[in-house]
Amino acid sequence: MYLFIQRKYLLTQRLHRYQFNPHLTRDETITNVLVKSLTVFPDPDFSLCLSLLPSHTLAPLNSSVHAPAAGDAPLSEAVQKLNDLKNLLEGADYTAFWATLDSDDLYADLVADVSGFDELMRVRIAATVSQAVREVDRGILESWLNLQGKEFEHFVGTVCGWNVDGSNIKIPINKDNEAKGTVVRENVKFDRKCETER
Amino acid sequence: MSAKFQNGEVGSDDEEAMVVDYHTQVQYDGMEDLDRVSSMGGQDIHAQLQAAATPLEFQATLETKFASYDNYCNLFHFILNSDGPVDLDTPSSSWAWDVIDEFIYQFNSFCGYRQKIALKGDNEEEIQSLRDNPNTWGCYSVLNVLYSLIQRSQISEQLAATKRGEDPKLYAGEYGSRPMYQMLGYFSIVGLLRVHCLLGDFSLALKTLDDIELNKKSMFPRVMAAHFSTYYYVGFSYMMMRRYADAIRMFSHILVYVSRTKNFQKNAQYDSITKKNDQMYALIAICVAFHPTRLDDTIHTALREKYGEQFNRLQRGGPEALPLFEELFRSACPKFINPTPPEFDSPELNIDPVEHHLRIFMDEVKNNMMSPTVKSYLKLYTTMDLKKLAGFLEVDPEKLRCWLLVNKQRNRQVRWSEGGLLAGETVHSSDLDYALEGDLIHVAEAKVGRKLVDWYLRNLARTY
Repeated sequence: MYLFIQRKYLLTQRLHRYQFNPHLTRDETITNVLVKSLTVFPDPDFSLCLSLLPSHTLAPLNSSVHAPAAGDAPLSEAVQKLNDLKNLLEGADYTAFWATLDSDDLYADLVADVSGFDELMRVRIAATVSQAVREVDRGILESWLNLQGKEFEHFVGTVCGWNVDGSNIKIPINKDNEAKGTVVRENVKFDRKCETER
Repeated sequence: MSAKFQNGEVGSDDEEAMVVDYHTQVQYDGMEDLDRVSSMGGQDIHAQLQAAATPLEFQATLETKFASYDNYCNLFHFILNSDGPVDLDTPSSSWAWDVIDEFIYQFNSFCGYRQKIALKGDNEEEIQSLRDNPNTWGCYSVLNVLYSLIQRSQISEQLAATKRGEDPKLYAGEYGSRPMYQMLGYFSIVGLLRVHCLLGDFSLALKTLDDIELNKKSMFPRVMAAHFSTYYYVGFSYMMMRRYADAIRMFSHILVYVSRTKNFQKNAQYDSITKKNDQMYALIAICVAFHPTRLDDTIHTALREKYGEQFNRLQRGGPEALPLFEELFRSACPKFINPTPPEFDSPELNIDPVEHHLRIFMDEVKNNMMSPTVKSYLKLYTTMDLKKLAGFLEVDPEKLRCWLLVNKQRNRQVRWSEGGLLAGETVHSSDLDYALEGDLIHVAEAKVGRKLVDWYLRNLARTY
């Protein structure tokens, strides 16, 4: 985990350096960092990376005004496309996420440099699902993970360790999907007791 | 100019990298300021010290701003690069804070001004002089000054020693043992927090405070403005990192402090923080909308007075609340800075950085806007069918499933418990919890048990 945080930190540092030296900027590196930060959703890394980018990257694209001379229209386009993905992911609309990812060749180019992107995303999606769900319809989970048939069973059974039960997938109880009511009790400290005895 | 400062490789790789970058950058602008420095000796140093802590006039011209920058450069060069530490009587104890504060303030307003000129693009004369001086009030110079002051005074080492319970004097060195360097270094750390936050690097902003402990034993609470500013920027950074519970803790702390001490602080310093005070109430209202929680009574009352109806609308969420979030964010966020000079040739690229951060923030608001509605329904049941609830809410059941997942994710928040400001662990932060079993939603609530101790105490006191 520590290594992972370190890595995240280094990635943001690279953007940080580009912040000050636009002439050193390489679009590809920026988009790679962004794609990488998608794979740790729902942590806010992606948004924090966006904050480090030049302010025009998120401005609405207007192809007629945007002359090629105006610089990095491709970068803005890529950033906004990735931001769309982020919004779908954070909105937990995983089905739409996979559909959008498939809808444009640009996405394939963008994620190409992050090896195992699909797999990383699936693991992440599975993790968020397991926090909220005890049992889910197979069809829904298939579309969330964008996997079918044998591959689906392998991922769910072996990678996640969940049970396929007919048309339902059962997710073992964990701390988060347990949803147990608790009663917050008063904690009586010893010195309070002394007050009574006085 | 700052190339001649001691360069700040403040212990970590990224700073070293920045220094390297900085050197590459310096090769561009040449070292045109050698002659400026030589003019230092003869001037009245005390007038300079005083001037550095004095705000510019509101209507200051561009030339005044350039001149003020040169003054700061001279002064800091003199302080940092004379042969050995300089012996100066500083005008007052809060002088060091005033200098750093004013230095950053002028940097901030200069960037805003430059941005505006570039966006309008009609004042040829000023555009030309801004073009000719791309590095005046440059981010690198400002950061370099702050990092150099920190390093010269070895303040980080001193603070770390204090934390370990050792004598900080052992680590102070030739410079750091003098109060002026010590104070300048210390407030430079607080200043760095602000600059990094203005540049949009929120995690780095919090990281700079690693050595400073946010408690009354620290030095910064002794200067009211510093105390105030620190909590504002720490709170804001937490908010942008979606750590709302921590942000609320920060804002509450300082707002309670201000409301308790305002009767003792009827002076100019207090007036200057009134605006920031209102901004923090706006931010706390935003944070509470994301993370409903019980506030301190004083703050709750003040929030009701200031924002009343708006506060309720924020908490209700939904699409109608979006313009309100936008308005409050705009009025309460710091004046963000673009790290690089604007492109004077293509005005459409010079978007106000506030808009940029607003867009990022609003994505998060939109993502969460249905959570209050969903929660308000779930509170009424212990089990609920997803399709039925979707019918109540008049949405597609699959959409509702997404909302439930989102809300569940947002209930998990990193919260500080000890250590540096960035440290913390993920905790479940809502009194409402639920899980999906197929289409069945199981709802559980964390109830607060009866508070019996006070009741017993009261009655015992009455009986005996």
